[in-house]
Amino acid sequence: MNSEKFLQLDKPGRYVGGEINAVIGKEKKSEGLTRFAFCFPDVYEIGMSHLGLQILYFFMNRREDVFCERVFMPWLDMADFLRMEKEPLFALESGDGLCEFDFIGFTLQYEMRETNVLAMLELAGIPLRAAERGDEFPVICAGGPCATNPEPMAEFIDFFYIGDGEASLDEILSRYASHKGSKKEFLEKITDIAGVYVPAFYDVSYGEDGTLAEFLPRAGTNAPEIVKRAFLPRLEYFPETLIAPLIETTHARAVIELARGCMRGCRFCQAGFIYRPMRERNAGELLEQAEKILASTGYEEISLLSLSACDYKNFEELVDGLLEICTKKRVNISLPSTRLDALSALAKIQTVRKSSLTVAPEAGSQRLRDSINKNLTEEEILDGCFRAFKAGFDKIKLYFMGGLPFEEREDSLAIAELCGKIVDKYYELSHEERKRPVSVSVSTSCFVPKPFTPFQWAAQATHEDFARTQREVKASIRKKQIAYRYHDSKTAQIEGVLARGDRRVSAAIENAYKSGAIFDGWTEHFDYETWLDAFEEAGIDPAFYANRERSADEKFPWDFIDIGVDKKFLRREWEKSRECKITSDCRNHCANCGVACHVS
Amino acid sequence: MMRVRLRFSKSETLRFIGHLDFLRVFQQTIRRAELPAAFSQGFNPHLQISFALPLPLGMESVNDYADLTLEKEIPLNEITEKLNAAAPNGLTIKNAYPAENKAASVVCAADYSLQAASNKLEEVLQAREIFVAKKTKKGIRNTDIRPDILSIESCGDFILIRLSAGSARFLNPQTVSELLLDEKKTITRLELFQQNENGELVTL
Repeated sequence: MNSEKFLQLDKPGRYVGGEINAVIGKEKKSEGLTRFAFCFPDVYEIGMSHLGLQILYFFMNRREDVFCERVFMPWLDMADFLRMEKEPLFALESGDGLCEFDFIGFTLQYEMRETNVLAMLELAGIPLRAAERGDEFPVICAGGPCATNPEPMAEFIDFFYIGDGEASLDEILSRYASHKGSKKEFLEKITDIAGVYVPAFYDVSYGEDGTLAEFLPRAGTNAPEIVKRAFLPRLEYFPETLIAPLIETTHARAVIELARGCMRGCRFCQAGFIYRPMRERNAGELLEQAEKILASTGYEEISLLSLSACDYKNFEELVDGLLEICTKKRVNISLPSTRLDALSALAKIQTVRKSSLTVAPEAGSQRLRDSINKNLTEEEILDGCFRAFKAGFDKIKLYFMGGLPFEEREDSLAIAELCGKIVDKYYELSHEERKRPVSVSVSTSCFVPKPFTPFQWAAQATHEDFARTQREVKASIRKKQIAYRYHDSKTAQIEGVLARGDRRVSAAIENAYKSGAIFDGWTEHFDYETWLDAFEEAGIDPAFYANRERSADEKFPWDFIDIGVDKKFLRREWEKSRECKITSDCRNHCANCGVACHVS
Repeated sequence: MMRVRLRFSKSETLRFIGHLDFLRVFQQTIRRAELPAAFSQGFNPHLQISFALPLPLGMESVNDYADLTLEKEIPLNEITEKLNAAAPNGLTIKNAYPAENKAASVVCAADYSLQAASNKLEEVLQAREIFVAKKTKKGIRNTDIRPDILSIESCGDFILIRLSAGSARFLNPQTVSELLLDEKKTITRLELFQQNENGELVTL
């Protein structure tokens, strides 16, 4: 294709590859190579900010017999351009169309990108449904957190990969290399690998009430009844370098992964359960990785990735080591999510660069924070903020969730009250310490219950519920230092259906896509009516999936996956949530979640 | 402290990135090369590099210039070698030499090439004034661009144009291309100039 024509597109740098540290196609392209197209179903700037993509890219490319390339969702102008030129969607490294590949792997990080998956298949000239694809097409697979309930995408994907990528990918790739025969035979061959789920090998039936009745492997296949997640007991592999994009991306910075999994068990958080147990990397190795990545990328910022960075065991040691490296190289350190109880380490980081502090109390009242098991007391929040103010911060961002299970009017009012107390804390500083007026920005998101969390039984709040919470919060904020923003609840409703949907939801996703739904995660492109029509056409009641509380004995579409934690444990947590009882973190006290975390 | 001027070319993939992205790419290249670059003061220290003249997205540049400040003296060829080893495809450092002035403030003219032939060359050169609608801060205004067309000549399959370029006077080569040609052709920037004591144009 003549790339000269890309110049007429918005941000043509998205489509040309050629970045520093990208694996160069020509060197690896030869006979007998397994070609893997790693697809991120959103634009380049977002996909390139995702560490998982970079880890798996280098993980696969470390093999001599595999060439992994990147593909992103083209922006609308590029999608039109490809259709007009009759050119297929292509990978950045080689420029080859996706049909040239052996595998096309999607990462499913967010439900609202699922129509983009369909768009990418169609742009590549590949039939959407697995059943319509013959052996001439690549094997289409998908992984990532949304693959823990793969069912809504089941009709489109040949096999799902559930769990840590590094755990079973090698085995799958090796078996593919030695495989002779049809695609179906290959899929049969890999069903015994941990994390592999081939939806076509299962039969699903539903009861009269619409809930799942039976979910069984089809006779004649050797597919297992229970699919175990792929699990990596120790995090060892980490790339020595990262691709540094030529154009500005959402997060243009070096990243090191401190840990996978979290020991907190916040009841709303899917990542806190599906990645259990918390697995930490060694501090010395992390420092080495940081140095190598900074040297090979030239980034001026490094970020510490983890679900809760400050829970990292040797956090102080790590920060001291990083500060030494980063001060010398004039590199800023940033923490994506911060717990207030680790502010002393934060204060040090701020010697490099001052920015605003982000705190996520998630709920306004102590009662509701206990209910969601956000183990953070009001005293800790206020004390933390005060220390941050002392250290020179004057901007604080606070994140709350609206529509949590068991939320009452008092909980919404408590948001404004808590924010007011934070503002008051600032005025406890001496006059000299208050250089600028304090700014507290508050936002509420719309809570979506997710599979494999204690809230998987919960009824999601309706539009009316969300709107009421937003009104109550807005009306109760009185201080001019506080700015309030809230998220639209329409997207959350659709997300709620896709998150806990079953196989019948596939048809609705396809309908929505065919009616023009694309980039649904982008507010300006999301069209609620399109989705409502799509559900209706598929004979689906969205409220059945999103707004219905499930009974204790209901069989879920994702129950066939063994994610590590027990359903019984999640149920206990759901009951405790109702009673507003907290569960202590893993380090403090084992809650018997079912994950075999004694693996050392 | 050492102020060096880097003469470089920007082509291939780098044509697809704009000026601000290119600035970042250049800064990262300097960091990867581990040159003792000087940083600006303040809360958000930045590597001190400045370009002679921004290059529009899509345009290749054969001889371009940037000034870089280093904290300590190092051999000039070492600067070139280290940068080239760290540079992405499409960026080549041709040489480095002491910067005696600020490239961005002295640049006054640029050479461009158009891969095309035109029979309107004489017509343009004969004209005493050429008014075109030019977008300014105050809106669209008719401006005489003739004084900013320093020369135009045909050279085989190419047309070579020399235009005013810099912070004081600047003429977009696209404007001239539109006068000469009916269709859009690729424009390449060849060279940047300053004036010496005798008023002659010499390269930066």
